[in-house]
Amino acid sequence: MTAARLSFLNVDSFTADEAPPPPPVFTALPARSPFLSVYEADGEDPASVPLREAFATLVDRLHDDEFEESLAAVHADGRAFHDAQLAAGVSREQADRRLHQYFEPLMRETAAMVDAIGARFVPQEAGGLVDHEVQAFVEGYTPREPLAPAFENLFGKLFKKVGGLVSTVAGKALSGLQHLALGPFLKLLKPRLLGFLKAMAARVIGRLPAPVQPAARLLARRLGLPPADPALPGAAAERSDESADEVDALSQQFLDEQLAGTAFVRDDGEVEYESAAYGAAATETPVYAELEDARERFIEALPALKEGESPGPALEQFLPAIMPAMRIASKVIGKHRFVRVIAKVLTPLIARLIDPAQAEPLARAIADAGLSLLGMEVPEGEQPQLAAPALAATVEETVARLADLPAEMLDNDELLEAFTLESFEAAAAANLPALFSSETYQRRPELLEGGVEAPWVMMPLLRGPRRYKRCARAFAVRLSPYMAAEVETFEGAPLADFVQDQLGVDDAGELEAELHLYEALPGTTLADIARGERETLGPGYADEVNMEQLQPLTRRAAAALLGRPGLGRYWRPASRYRPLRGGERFYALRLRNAARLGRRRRPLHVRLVLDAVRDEARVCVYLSEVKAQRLAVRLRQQGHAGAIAASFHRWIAPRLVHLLTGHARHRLRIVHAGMQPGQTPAMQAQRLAPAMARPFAEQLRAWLVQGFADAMKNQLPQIIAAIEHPSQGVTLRFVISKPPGLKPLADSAAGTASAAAASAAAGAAPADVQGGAPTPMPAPIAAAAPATEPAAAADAAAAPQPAPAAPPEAAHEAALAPNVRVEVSPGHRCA
Amino acid sequence: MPEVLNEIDAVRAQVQRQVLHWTLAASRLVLDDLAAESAWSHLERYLGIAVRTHLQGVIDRLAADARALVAEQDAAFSTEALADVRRRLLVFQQRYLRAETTLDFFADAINVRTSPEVSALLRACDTLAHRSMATLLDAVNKPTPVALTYIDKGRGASILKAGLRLWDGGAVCPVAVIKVTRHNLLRPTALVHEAGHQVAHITGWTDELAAALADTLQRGARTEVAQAWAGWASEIAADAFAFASTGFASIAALHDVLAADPRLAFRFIAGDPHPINHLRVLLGVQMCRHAWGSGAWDTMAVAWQTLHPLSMAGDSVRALVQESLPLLPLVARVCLEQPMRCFGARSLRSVLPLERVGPAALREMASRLGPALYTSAHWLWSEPLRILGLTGLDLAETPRDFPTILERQRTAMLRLGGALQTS
Repeated sequence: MTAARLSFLNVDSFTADEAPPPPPVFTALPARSPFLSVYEADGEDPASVPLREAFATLVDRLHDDEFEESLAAVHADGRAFHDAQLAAGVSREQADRRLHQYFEPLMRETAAMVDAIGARFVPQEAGGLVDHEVQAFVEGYTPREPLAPAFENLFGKLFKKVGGLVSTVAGKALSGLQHLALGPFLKLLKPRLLGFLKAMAARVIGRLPAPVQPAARLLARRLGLPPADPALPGAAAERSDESADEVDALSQQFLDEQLAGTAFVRDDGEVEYESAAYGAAATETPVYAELEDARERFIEALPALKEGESPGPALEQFLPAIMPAMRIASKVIGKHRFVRVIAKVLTPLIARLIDPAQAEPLARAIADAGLSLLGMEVPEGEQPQLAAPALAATVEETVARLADLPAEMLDNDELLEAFTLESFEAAAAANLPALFSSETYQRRPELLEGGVEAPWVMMPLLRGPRRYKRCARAFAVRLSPYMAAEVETFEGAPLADFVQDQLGVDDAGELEAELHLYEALPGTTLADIARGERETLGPGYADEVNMEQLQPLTRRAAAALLGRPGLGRYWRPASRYRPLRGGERFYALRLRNAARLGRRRRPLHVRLVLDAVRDEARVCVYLSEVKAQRLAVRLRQQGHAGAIAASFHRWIAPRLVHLLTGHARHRLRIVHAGMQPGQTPAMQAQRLAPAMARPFAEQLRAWLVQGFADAMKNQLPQIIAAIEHPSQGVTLRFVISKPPGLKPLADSAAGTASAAAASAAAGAAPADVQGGAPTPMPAPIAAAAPATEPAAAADAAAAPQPAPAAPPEAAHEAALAPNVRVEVSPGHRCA
Repeated sequence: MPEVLNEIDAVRAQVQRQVLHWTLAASRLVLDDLAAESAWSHLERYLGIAVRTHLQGVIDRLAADARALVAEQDAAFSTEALADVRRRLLVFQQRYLRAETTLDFFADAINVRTSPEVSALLRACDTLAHRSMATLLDAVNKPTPVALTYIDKGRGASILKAGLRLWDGGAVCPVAVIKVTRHNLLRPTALVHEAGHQVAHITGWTDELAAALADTLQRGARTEVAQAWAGWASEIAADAFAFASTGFASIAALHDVLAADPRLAFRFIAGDPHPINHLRVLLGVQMCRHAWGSGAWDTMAVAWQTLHPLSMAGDSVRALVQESLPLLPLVARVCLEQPMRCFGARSLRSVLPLERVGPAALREMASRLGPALYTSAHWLWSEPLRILGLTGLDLAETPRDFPTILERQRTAMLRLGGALQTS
């Protein structure tokens, strides 16, 4: 055994047999990358570029498009288990303990899986692993104890990631770069995997995951990256909790970065440092759990007040628990002052509403507001209990509305008082039934939200952890094809696609439907709403199937579907699987007479990877089963090739715009050696220079449509065979080599844009091309640019604007059509 | 030697033992003991919930009766009171046995889902039955019950209709339970016929059709003949429903079942809701001719009439058949074309367009959709009844390819039932 091996075997629990000496470790870096000048930025180590390229590529390889779904399924199962405990009257401490016990098998099996990999491959490492050996091991491995289906699925996904990493570390992919041997690598890997699962359990019980920035900073330093630009969204997340829910220990990107980062720890010293640093990571804070408990205490305290007793003390105990959940705590100077001012305004208002003379009519008005129509009858004896939750919801929403104000306004007591009163009125309009005369509402229409009497009630109505609000009224709508095409849902997909792809309704005519409206409470998920609404959404269907019925109720959606924009809310575009901040509204569309398939149907979607390391764009277009079959029919009928390509264009065009500038930014990934760790894909995409992103989206659209048309000619048998395969849907993977404009665009996201590109990013043409020849890039096509909130960028794309200038090298490159390769696979194969 | 009690105590001890025996027996009725967990898991979730909820209601009602009986027995210290307890015990025993019958029926129906393949085929049958009912009931704004199918021996299918009280006499059963025969598992048009009975029950079609047949036929036939046809209305309605849902496939399958025993071709039992087999087959043929003109059914009719000449019939039946044969086109028209109040003043044909299940339309579908018709989750879900109609048509027209066609239907049903998972 050589000295080189001894150094890590000393810290490893795995034993290794005598093995021939390992190949020499290349400490000298290879020749500089041709992209080096592009990646370099102030303070970074240019010698580390190959390392960072390898890192970025490895992170990209680990990505699994279905990972988030698996994670959400485990979260949903855990939350159902935990909520059932709480609803049964088990104390929170005990429920938390049981939840951790519930997660134990998954934790044990994950640890055992890493050990099993070590036992199998560490002894072989020196001799080298045969291709696919690890993959075969992963595929053949079964957990020692049976796991629940959701656990088993997530376990499989984690195992796949670990297998991929082991193949890379022990294989040839990192040759030439200094990296760890397998044993110490696995030693670092295990706590990260277990830490991830621990964070998952913590989120289930209502804790906010720990900040990721310390770990991200550590990783950045190891990769030779400069300190994060404070303008980076990821960096902002640490300064304020404005977007703390977007970057956390449970995002796949962060997990992949942390796992991939372990491969690049170089020696014993770093191993020890990493282990210590990871162990010292901050713990999760029980933000949502405390809010739930405080809310329940407030709800119990109000009816217990004696006549004339002030609700002020109860309010002052409730408000501090709301603040962290609404991310307002770090915005205000002087938490006590803030609480005092709000309590001063709200106390007399609440006191008036809980006065016995008012509380009873209030509760009756809530009960009469349509609950029985929705099957939510409340026994008469329990009706008085309805008033306190409504007031708690009003107080929470008041604070949530204040959280949207600039910090400066919150620091001024007079302004704060005025805005508190205004926010309370708006919150009461949503959460309380109509309490005033019709003359009052005519005079002050804003006191009736959306101009319709439809109070929102927290659910469950009487017992159990409250997770969401439900509008006490359902709305009958007639959904025309035009409305369905206009209203956008997740990732910018039209509602029409949901109706066709997931409900399986092919009719082109008007559909009669009933709309049920829901509002998230802080920390809730769509699966929580689906679980609580089984009776409405589909008794007997799995929650994950029912969850897919929930669509964001933006103001535009509310205007189009209900004619009442006021019922819609601002919605921060994100995946449907992410926990919600609270306040977002959703609707479920229940079509009359629509037969429903009890299993999940995956809708059409598009994924985009901008790989600056390989200088290629990879686009994955998944055609839903319905769309794929329709395509097959047209192909068999030998439909007009142009018309078929036009359909494809119709499917992808709005989605591409949303990928680069709108609702689907979280589905765009950027592989770039200069990218700071600790950012979600949405944050990375947010930094794309709009003036470059929009033209690039246009070009991309043209390349894809051309690639599709070519594939229809040259790969028709493969396409037909893939569609006829029993798998659901078809995946078309487009690989576009050296697309003009990709590198400067990716640079803009990484913050390493050249001067010329930076000028373009700022919307101005570089000095040497100002007033020169018009850009060769196509002008934005208004029809393809969706105009939905909150994507101001997408709105801007639809508006007429001057054609953006491109740097001269980009202008030259644009003239060259890139090579587009299309791979066709049956089923969902988006990586 | 046990102490000899007085008479009341002696009776009380005997009654107490019997009360405890039966009430404890009732307490041992547990859903999970009736069927294995794996069998429950082979039901689609929505169906499992509906069945479990209903059966739990049966058990809960019995448990409530048991508690009342025990309370009464505890308070009974007089001869009269003990006599009341004994009477109540007898009633309880009856209820127990009836509840047991209900539970056993469902347990048998669920426990046939023994293997993944059988379970998937039956899930597909559940879907076929539900979809066939929903197509019509949705159109007339009536709720569609869930359907639970099970395999059993025998020649013909049967149904325990939803909306009826079962043996236990408690709440109405919310599930339509349909027996599919083992030999016809891969040609389950008979279950669509049974689903037709459920549809007729919910809409009130049978009575309206009976009145329409009696009214129309007695204008040109003897009252006895018209009344005979009116008495067959429930089966004719179910046949028409299966025909409108799956086309010629249902007639061919019906023919094959009825042709199995030639002795029964002309059997007539007064009061039997089933038409005379000879007339039933030829009415099916007539429906095909009415809908699509000539076709493979003509050959089938020739064969049937050759193998079942009228001379096989007894005198009285022969007269009825002879008088009925000219009426068949009229009967077919009444079934398919006459507007019915129960269908919102529409005819069966306008609710379930016959053109969709005609040979031309089915062939066009097969050619348009290609092999994906039998593999795509979308088509299997969108067109399960027409796929059944198509394979039934193929079986009828090209019997030499029977194994291949049947295998196609089996694979399609396995996919529809989720055994062959799509990724």
